[in-house]
Amino acid sequence: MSDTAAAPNPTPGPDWNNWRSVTDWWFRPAVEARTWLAAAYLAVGFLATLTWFVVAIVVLSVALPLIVVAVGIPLTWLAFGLIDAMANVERRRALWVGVEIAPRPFASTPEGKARIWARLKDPARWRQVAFISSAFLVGALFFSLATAAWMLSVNVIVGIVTGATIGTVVLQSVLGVFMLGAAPRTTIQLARAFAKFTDWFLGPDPVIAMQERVDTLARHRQEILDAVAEERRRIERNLHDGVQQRLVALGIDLGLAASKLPEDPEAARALVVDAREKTRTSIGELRVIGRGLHPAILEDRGLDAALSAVVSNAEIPITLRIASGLRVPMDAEETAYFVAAEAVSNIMKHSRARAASVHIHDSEGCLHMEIHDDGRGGADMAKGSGLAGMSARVRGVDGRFDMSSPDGGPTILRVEIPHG
Amino acid sequence: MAEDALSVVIADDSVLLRDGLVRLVEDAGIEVLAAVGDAVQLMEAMAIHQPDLVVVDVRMPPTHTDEGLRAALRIRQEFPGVAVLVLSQYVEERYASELLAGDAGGVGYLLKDRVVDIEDFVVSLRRLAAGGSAVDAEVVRQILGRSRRKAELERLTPRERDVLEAMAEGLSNSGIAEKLVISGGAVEKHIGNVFQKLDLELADAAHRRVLAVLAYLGSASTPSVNP
Repeated sequence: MSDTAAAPNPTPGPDWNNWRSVTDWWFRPAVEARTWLAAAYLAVGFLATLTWFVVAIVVLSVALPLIVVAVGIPLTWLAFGLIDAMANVERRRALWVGVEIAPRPFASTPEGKARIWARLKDPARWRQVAFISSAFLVGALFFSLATAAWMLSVNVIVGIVTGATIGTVVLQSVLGVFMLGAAPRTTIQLARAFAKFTDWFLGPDPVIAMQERVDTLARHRQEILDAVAEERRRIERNLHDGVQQRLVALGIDLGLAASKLPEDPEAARALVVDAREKTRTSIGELRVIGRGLHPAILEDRGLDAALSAVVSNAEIPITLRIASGLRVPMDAEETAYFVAAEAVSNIMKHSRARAASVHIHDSEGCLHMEIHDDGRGGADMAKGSGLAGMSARVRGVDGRFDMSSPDGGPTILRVEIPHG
Repeated sequence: MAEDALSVVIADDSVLLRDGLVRLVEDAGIEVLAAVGDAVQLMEAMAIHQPDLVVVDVRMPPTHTDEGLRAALRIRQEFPGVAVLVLSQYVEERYASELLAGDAGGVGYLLKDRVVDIEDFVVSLRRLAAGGSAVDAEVVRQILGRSRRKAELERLTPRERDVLEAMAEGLSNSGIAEKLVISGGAVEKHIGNVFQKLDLELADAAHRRVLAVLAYLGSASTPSVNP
C-alpha cells in the first residue's frame, strides 16, 4: 500500500492569535473535496460491500456443494471470478481516499486436474472471500459512525430551532460548532481506516513484497559485482595493450640509444627523440584512462563542468543541457557521469551518429537524463558494449535505465537516478 | 633568446616531478627560489620571495582536487605582478575559464606533459613572465569543440583556423610564424582576415587577443556556457 494523497493531518496548524485563521482552519475541512470523497467512499462502500456479500454468498453456496458433480466446477470458477472482480472494485475505490492497493498475487496454478485443487486451496482467494464476508459489517459500522458525527453537527440548527431554554440552545450550538469541524476529520479517518482494512485483506503480503525486494537487491548486487569485474578487466586490458607495451618499447629505445651513444651519437639522438614521442603518447593514454575512471573536476565543480569536457572532446557535435552549478550527492553525480561518459563513448564507437545530445535535469530528488543520437541504432544490451554495466550501475542505486534503439536509429537512452 | 634573469617558485606534491621541473628550469637559466609540496607552503614561500613566475600543480594535498587552481587565483589577486602557470594532468575548460576570467596577461594553463617539449615549455615560461599568456592547445580544442559559432568558423580557411588556435593559445605573432612555419607578414594577413571574418575588434597585445578569441568562442567571458 502506498499513500499518494490525503495526509492524515488535514491542514497546517492555525495562527492561534488570529481568530479568523483558527475558525478557517477548524471549519475548512467541511467544504474540502477530499472530505466529501471520503464520505462518498464510506457511503458507497456500505452499499457496495453489502451487495458483494449477498452476491458472493448466493453464488458460493450454490456452486460449492455442486462441486461433487461436474457442473459445480465451472460455477465455482464463476464465483471466484466474481469475487475477484469485486475485490478489484474495492481496490480501485481505495484510490478515492488516496490509498493505492496493489493486487495480492494468486498462487501459480499447475495444468490439469491439480489446477482445480490448487485454485480451491489458494489462500489469496479465500482471503478475498473473507474480505467480502466481513467488509459489509465493518463498512456498515464505519458508515454509521460517520453519519452519527455529521448528525451531531446538525445540532447547530436543530438546537436553535427546537431549544426549549437558553441553556439548551447554547449547549446545542457549542456542540454543533465543535462537531462541524470534528465530523469531516472523523470521516476522513474512518475512510482511511476502511481503506487500510481493505489493504490488509486484498493488498500484497508485506513479507512476500519484502522477499521480492530482497531478491531484486541481491540480483542488482550481483550485476554490480559483475560490472565492476568487467570494468577492471577492461582497464587491465587497456593498460596492457597500450601503456605497458609502449613503456617496454620505450625501454628498448633508450637501451639502444645508450649503447649507440659512443660511436653513433646521431642515431642515439634519433632514438631518444622517438622515446620522447612514445612517452608523450603514453601520458595521453593514461590521461584518457584516468579521466574515464574518475574526473577530479566532478568533485569540485560538479556534473556540468565534468561533462562539458566529455562532450567537447567528442568528434561530433554534442549538445549538453544541464543547469550550471547543479550539485547532487556524490553517488548520483558519479553514476550520472559514468553513464553519460560511457554513452558518449558508445556513440563514438558504434553509432555512426552525426549529432547527439545529453540532457540532464533534476526534479523531485531524482536526476533525469536523456541521451539521444541520430546514428544507426540497433544497440543491444546483450551484446556487451558497456550497456549492461551502465544499466547495472543505475539499477544498483534504485534508478531506472531504459533504452530504445531500433535498427536504423535513433538511439534514445532514458535514465533516472534517485538521490536524497 | 634574451636570457633575462628570471626567478620562479614551484609547487608540486610529486617529488619526482618537482625535482624534474627544478632541473629543467635551472637548466634554462631560471633561478628557482623555492620548490614546495602544497598550497599552504606555496603561500608561505610567496610571503618570503618575490619571484617573477609561479609554477603550480592543480592537484595537491589535502583534497587533491583544485588546491593549485585556488592558490593561483589568490596569487593573481595578492601579487598582481607575478605570472602564474598552472600545470595539470587533465585540462578542463572550466578551470581555464575561471583562471583566465578578466585578464589573461601573465596567466598560463598547460597540460603537464607539455614539459616534455622542453624548448617550447621554456618559451611559454618566458612569455608568461613577460606578461603574455599560455593556454593549452587541448583547452582551445575543447572550447572550439563546444563553440556555438560553428557557422562563423566555417568561413575560415584551414590556415586561418590554425592561426586562430595559435592566437587562443597565447602565441605572439612571431611565435605563430615560427609554429606554422610562415612569414611574419603572412601571419599578420591571416590575423587580419580572421578578425574581419569573425567581425571582431582587433586587439593589439597577444594576451588581450587570447581573451577576445576565447570570449568569442564562448568560454572565457562567462564561467559556464550552456547551449
